[in-house]
Amino acid sequence: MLIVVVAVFAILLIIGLPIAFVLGATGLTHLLVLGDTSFYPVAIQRMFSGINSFSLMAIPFFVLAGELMNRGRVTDKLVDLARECIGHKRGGLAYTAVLVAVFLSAILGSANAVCAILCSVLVPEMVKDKYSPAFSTSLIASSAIIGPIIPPSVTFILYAVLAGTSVNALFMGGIVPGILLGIGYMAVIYFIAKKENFPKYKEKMELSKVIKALIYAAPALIIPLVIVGGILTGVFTPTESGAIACFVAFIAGMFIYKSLKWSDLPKVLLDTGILTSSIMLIIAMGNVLGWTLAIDQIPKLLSDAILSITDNPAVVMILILFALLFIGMFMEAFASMVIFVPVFAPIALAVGINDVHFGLVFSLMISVALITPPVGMCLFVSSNITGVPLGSLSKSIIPFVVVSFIVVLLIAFVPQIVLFLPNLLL
Amino acid sequence: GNGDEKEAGTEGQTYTLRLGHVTQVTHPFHIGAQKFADKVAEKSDGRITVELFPARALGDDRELLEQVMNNTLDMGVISGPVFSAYTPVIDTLQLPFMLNTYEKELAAVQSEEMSAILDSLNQFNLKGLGVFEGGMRHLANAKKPIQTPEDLKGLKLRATQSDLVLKILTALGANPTPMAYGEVYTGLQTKVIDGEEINLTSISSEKHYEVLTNVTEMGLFPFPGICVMSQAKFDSLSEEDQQIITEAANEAMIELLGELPSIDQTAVENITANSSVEILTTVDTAPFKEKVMGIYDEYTAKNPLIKDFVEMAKGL
Amino acid sequence: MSIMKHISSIIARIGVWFVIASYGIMIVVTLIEVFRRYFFGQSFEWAEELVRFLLVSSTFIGGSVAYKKANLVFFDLLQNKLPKKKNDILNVINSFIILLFLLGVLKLGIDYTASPSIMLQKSPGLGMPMLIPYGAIPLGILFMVIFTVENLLERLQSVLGKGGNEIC
Ligand code: NA
Ligand code: NA
Repeated sequence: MLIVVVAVFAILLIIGLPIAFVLGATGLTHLLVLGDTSFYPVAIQRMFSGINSFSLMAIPFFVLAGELMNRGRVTDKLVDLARECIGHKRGGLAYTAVLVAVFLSAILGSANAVCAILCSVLVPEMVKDKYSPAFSTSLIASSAIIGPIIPPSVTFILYAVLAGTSVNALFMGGIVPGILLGIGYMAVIYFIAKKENFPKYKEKMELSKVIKALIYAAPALIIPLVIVGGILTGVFTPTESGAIACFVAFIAGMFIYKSLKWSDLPKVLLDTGILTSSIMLIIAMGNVLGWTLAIDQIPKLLSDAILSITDNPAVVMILILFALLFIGMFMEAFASMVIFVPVFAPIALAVGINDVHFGLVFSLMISVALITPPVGMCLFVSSNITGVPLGSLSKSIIPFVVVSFIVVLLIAFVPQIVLFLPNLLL
Repeated sequence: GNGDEKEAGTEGQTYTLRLGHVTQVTHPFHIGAQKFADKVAEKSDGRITVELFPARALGDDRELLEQVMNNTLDMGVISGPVFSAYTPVIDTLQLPFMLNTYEKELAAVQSEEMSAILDSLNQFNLKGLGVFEGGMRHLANAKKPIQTPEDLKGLKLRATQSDLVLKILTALGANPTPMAYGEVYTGLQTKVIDGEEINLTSISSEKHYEVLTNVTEMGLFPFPGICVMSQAKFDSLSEEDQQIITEAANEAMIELLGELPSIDQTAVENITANSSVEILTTVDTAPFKEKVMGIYDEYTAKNPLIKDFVEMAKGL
Repeated sequence: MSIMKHISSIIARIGVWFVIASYGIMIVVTLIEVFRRYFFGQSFEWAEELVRFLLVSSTFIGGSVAYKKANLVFFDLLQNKLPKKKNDILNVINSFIILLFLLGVLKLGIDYTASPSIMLQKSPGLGMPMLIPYGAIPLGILFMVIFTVENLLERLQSVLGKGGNEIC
């Protein structure tokens, strides 16, 4: 029976239906296969309830804050700052890309946003500086996955809504893994830079220029301070901090960078609305499948199967990571979260894995899946923008994927790395 | 459809009923549901299986209620306040300081007035089978001991999403704010809220004692879960099976209420063993009661079933 | 054909302004709530609910606009590999499947919204009939149906039209 459902999913995905419709149609197919007509009404309820959540409101707010900041040509200022800080090293522009990704991640909530901006701004410059297009594109695609790891994060919000974990704790816990990913990618650059003899961007660091760049970039750097600071002090919930971030970005764009006009607002709101709707529609439609799997007792069967083999948390963690590796190769990130968080989170909880720790590992793994071939949204976005074919990108990205997995494993098996911050601060 | 099933009857048939609720398996709702399932299995010699879907596996309270009303789900144990989207009668159980002990509640839920209220749910395609108590609610906070209504002034308290509960807390002088259950711990920690109306087992199982300082046991109101079945489903069962279901729910309800004092006692022991939270049990509730009398007038005017129940409860 | 285009463009414009207005209201209401809570320790019970319902409605109505503008995420692995002619045929097939799916959801949506569990239900904060927020789902899906029909007619014309030329 379930094989029909999986087949429908695969076929609709391959022939190129929008992911949201693929999920909705798969859910309806499962309802049909279950064969009880009294189940049908639930489809609409699940679509509604999947997005009827105040916490999810943080998603459009983070998107909007990012849109407002972009209009202020924030990225240019962040690039200048990163260059002044690190441009004097061999491979300076490559390091700059990672540093900018980290800065941007503290403003933007998703990998796609970071990826799109960096690809259009930095890849042309790197190619001009004689970096290979394939290396540049894979560096940017990988750095983009820091976007959902360092707060604010659309991924953490969705995880928290699905699993009932504290958003604040996930946000705090994401800071260290995000920085570790950045360091990991810089290590890759370091080794390749030696081998390929990458250029330096400039001769030496000049403090006065760093300070000047810092001043220009300051309004952009206020956003992460507002978000993280607001949550830390308990002044706002993540959703509220998203609204405040929009307010700050609006003030900065209107009165400091003076790049935003009142007449821009409808367009900015519309772009936000369309981007958010396409994410929300995936969550809504995927939620139907979540229910049919639950009534069919699939999560329970899977959980019983795993727990009959072992109740050792480390082994369970490994099993789930392998499952996620496989799922992540073929499924879109939000879709796999809506379907698999309710399946795996209870298993992790049952063997005594800390819920915040598991949420971080799960979200990290789903984010790394954005760059694992064949299906990875960051691969698609970056290949689209830079024109590097998916085939060659899939090869050049391997060192970055390997480093990302090392970070995942480190965090999966040394929970103290990520838990000390939320424990200390919250 | 259900029409065919009705004619065929279910005499002697083997089948499964699905029951959903939102709480974890340690919560009284689940304990009640498990008792119900066991009793149904026993009374039907294993013919009828009740399959439990705890922990929001099929949806939150409001959604589970819709599913039962639409015959999508056979049964649910649904938090009382959720019914107020359709009818005020279930709110009656939570009128302030009325059913302030488990003994009173045990007598009340077995009364004719209670049956009348449960029966009135059939206009929504719901067969009300019984009340699975979740645990008496008290006031807890991270600031000071609450001994008089004055101590509540301006205190930001997390409240269940319920019009009645918000009214009660406002009338007592506090500042109630609805908040998701999962955010309460961090909310207390980061001082977004000062306290909560809560039951003792939740303070213990959710480790709220780590971030609370004071609890005042005052029997504010009970927290009933209503065990409901789709009326169409119930009608489709044979008379023998209907009786099995009704009896099992009734026995589970009574047993659970009987065990709740000791469940609460275990929670208190766990709280005091793991924290220095101060638990007051001897507060004079009279001045608190005075502040909320207006709510009684408002609710008894809403529906004669409420008026009858309140009068019965006063005599307990 | 031109009537279909006309209807579809009017609907798209309604969708666009609904999204702009919803997001404007959502952010203003949330900001006011933050300030009220921070400075006065108060919050409106209905505010959070209003924001949630606007999010749901704008997801389905804004989602239809996103669909029309081809902004919904999809995998184009197969479509990229096919020659133009075969790709056109695939697109027609896809539109048919989408139409079938959307009509199914539309039927379920109307049935569910009209069921007693929704018709008799009032939201706890606003006291609003739940018919209104739930109704946004069939409405948004109806918009998508119209956009799909428009698209399907266009694609069919292009596939059949070119086919005809080749035969001549
Ligand atoms: Na981020
Ligand atoms: Na992937």
